[in-house]
Amino acid sequence: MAKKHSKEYYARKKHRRRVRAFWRAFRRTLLVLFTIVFLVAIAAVAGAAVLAKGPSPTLSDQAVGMALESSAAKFAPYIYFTDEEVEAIKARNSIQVTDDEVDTSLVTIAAEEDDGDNGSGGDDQGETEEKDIEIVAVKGATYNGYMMIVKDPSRVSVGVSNGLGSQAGMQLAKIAEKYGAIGAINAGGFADANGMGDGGTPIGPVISQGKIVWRNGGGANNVVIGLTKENKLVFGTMSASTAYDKGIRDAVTFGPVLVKNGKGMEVSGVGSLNPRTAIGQRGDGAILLLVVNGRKVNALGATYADLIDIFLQFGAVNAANLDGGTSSFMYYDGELINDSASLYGTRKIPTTWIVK
Amino acid sequence: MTKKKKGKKRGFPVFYTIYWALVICALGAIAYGCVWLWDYCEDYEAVQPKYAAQKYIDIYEKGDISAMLDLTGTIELYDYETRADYEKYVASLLEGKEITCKIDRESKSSKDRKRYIARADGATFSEFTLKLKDEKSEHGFDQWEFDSMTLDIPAPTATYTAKVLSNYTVYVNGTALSDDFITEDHIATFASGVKLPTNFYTPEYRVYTFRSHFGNLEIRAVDPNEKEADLKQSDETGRNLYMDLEYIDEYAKPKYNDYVITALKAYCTFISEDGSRANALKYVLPSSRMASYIDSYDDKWFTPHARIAFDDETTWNYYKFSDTCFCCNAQMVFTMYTSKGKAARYPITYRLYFMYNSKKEAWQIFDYEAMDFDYEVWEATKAAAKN
Repeated sequence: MAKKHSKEYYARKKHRRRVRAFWRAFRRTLLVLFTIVFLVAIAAVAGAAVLAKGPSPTLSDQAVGMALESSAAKFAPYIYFTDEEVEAIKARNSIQVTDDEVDTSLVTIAAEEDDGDNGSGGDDQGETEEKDIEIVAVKGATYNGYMMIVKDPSRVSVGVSNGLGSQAGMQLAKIAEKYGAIGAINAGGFADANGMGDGGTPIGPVISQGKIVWRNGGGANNVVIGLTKENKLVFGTMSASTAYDKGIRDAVTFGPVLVKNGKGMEVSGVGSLNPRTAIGQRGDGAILLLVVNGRKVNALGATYADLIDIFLQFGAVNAANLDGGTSSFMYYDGELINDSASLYGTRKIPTTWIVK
Repeated sequence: MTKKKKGKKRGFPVFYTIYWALVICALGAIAYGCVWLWDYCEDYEAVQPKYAAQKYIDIYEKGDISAMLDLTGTIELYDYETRADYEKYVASLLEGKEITCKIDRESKSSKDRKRYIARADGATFSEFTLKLKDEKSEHGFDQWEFDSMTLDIPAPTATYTAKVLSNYTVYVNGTALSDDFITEDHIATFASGVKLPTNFYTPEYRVYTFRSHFGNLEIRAVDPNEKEADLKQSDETGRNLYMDLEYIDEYAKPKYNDYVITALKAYCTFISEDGSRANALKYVLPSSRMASYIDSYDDKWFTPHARIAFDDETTWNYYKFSDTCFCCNAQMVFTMYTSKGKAARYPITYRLYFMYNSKKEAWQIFDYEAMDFDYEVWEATKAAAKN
């Protein structure tokens, strides 16, 4: 005869069964999540290994370059390559550096046009703005972006965020609004360890609106890129004081130089694809502000060679690279017009080139 | 008999069956993805323009001129110039120079053209372009192929001339020049004032003018008997040549020196009335201008004299016009002494033109030219006489 149990017994048994079922489901859920993460990690590592050590040295070099130029993934190449191998990749994918001075005589600023006094005010002023600032789309096999052509170089200067070095940086649009600028692009580099920088500390000398606002940082590989009081684009490795004494009214620090004295710098190797920002000047003095999208499925980015080609196509006499990656933004007439690589919206940055 | 304990049959849970199946599928997909990615990378690498370009960059860096010309063609060559001459010329211009070839960054770039520039010691001498192929690669990448190559080697043309006797043919690098290269013809070989005997075949010069890109020409002039002319340079450029008439001093002077002096003396003694007209005419071609001089001469301007003397006689510059015609210079000092011993000296230098008179079987003068007395020759003659 089967033993009869009390109701309490059956109730406790049912409760225990339910608890066991709950924990079983929880464990299985954790297992599935862990397995997914594990499989994704395997796929990423395997895919990266194929890129790094696979049959395409070109892709390998490009991938390494892209990682090295990003703030958050600089460590990645060292997983697959030794320090010497990484240095060798950098060496064979480099851009020429020359010591010769920028020849400012190659730039002849066109005489300022008389705006004319037609008495009709706002609409005509808008048309004049439109003629003096031109936005041209640029496109290549691996990139797209915009070139802002500012006919009057005196309208271009450096805008900075509030409290350089002591506060976080400001978004591009905010800096543009601060100065009442119609156009702007991001400019110099800033401290950004592991991609987590607050954009408040510039790297290298910064001169804004005729005043030295930052002196620190920079180094042998950083180039001061500035506009002189004669509105001519110059660059070189120098201190803030030296730049100021040379009559540079606005300047940031980054590099490398892309075009000097009408000639594109020689580029070896394939280079890396990244979002880019750059500045140049034509022979008639017009300033060229370039922002190229990247790190997208439809736009991986541009190499230095691509930038050189673009600037030469636009007639640049001198041009230099600025900070790129997730910092690359172009602002015009109240909105950001490029497709940034940043996942978190516009980054906070310390310096910009603005167009008033 | 023991009873089997009844209980739930515990098999492998369905969850884990599905779980492991999915894990295995995922691993399989990752493996497949890696294989696909590997293939993708291979395709990407294969279409890099550097591989399409390297073959042509190697041509420059190895200095393979022949391969270069196969791609660029040659400039328009003259009949006597060969591709080998052009290759040699190009090679000479590039020899010892650092040759580099890099993609062009200075020109306006084109999406479907890549331009590579070759430089020798920094100076551009050639370029080639790659163009996009019509078909894409397996994974849809653009592919590049050779488009064209140009060579910018200056090949300035230099003009040459060769003045030769009309029965000679000029050869340049072994190729005979046709009459199309003759720019001047029927140039007389005699001085303008010389009167030729009737029906005398006059050797004439003609001038060939031709051009060359590369220089270093082998220029020869050969007559129908394969006799080669001695071409001389008329200026320091070395591009203007001429042939002298055949200079025959070496064998003619020993053979004819005395005869020519005798003929000249016969003429001189005739004019000074120390010799007969007949004696003078013995050495003169009948019906020639020389003969007419002698026949018509009656200008007795020499002063009366007691005796005459000839000193320092010599001949030189024998030139052969043909087997029956030559000329030479003859010089002497003709002195007349008066009865009181006073001497009147007449330095005489003539170029005498001789024709062979087959009837008389003798060389006879048919014309002459008076020339300036050659003091150098005179000094040499006196020195030779002393020795």
